Amino acid sequence: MLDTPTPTITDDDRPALWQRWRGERDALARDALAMRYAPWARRIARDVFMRCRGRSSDWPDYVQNASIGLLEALANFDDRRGVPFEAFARLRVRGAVFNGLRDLNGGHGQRAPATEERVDSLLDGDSSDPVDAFIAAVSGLATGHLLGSLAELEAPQALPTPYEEAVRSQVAETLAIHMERLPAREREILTLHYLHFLPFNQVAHAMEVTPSRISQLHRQGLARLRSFMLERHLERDF
Amino acid sequence: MTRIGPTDPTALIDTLRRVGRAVTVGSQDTQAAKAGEPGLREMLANLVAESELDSEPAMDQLRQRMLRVILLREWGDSAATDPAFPGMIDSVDATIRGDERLRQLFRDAVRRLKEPPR
Repeated sequence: MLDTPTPTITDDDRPALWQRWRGERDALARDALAMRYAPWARRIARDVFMRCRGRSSDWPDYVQNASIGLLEALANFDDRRGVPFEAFARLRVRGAVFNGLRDLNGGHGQRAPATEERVDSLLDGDSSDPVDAFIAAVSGLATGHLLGSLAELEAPQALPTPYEEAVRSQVAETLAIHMERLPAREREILTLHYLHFLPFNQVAHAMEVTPSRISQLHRQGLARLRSFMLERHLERDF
Repeated sequence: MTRIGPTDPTALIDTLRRVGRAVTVGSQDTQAAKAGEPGLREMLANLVAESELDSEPAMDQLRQRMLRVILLREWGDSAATDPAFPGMIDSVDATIRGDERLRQLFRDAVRRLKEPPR
């Protein structure tokens, strides 16, 4: 199974990040913490998913709601109370997943039309040439599709069979590696949007920037991934 | 000429992005020219030139062929045998079909590719 391209949790940098976030309200430190705890929140989503025997098609909702719970917990956590973050956040993340599940079962769990905001973002480029703009849009949509496929591979009921392991997409794996080369903010936005299924407005809320800024960084991140992929292809062929 | 203020990182990033894009697309076509192959734009123009564009199905077929050419050019010929490739083409094509702005952009691109080189 592919690893989510997020940094692993290390005990080394978390205290420093917490200090920067609590003491200086450094938004970059908070975003970095969100990335470090995202796999943990995902595991909670997976536990609830397995317990409730959820449908594969609903997996994105579980992850999305766990991510929202995590971001809310990060915003409200106060370590002066002496409670470890995981203990504080676990109930909130689980609660967010269960709340989302209730909405889902009640028929109110419609996800925002992610495709539309991706298209908005890609078409907001500055090219006046329709051929260049079309090529950039196609490349961005294809990259987004592959990023989405990385997330689908992690769905609990979509564990790959040995055959699927053998035919796993090399392009998608290469893309996951290139994600690590992106600047932190672009990587975080693409991760939260494509791997944690958060719509732009929720990513914007979490990062305390405007949705249009998120849209701009999304387009920038995809363009950068495109240039990494192209660079690799040219290096190999020439 | 774009002016970049000392306190405007957004403008700087945008300018760098534009430069980066120009370098990327330019280097791709330069590399292709060195190897004696047509550049991506020329390949697309050839596709358009050899296609009948008199019906909706013909345009659909052209679009799918263009998607294939673009993505193979960007990701390398080996992507053609990647298990994700057919699904990706279908997904991008479905997104374009479902969005009037993208359909219009495709029509504009085809129109531009039909024009003689400047």
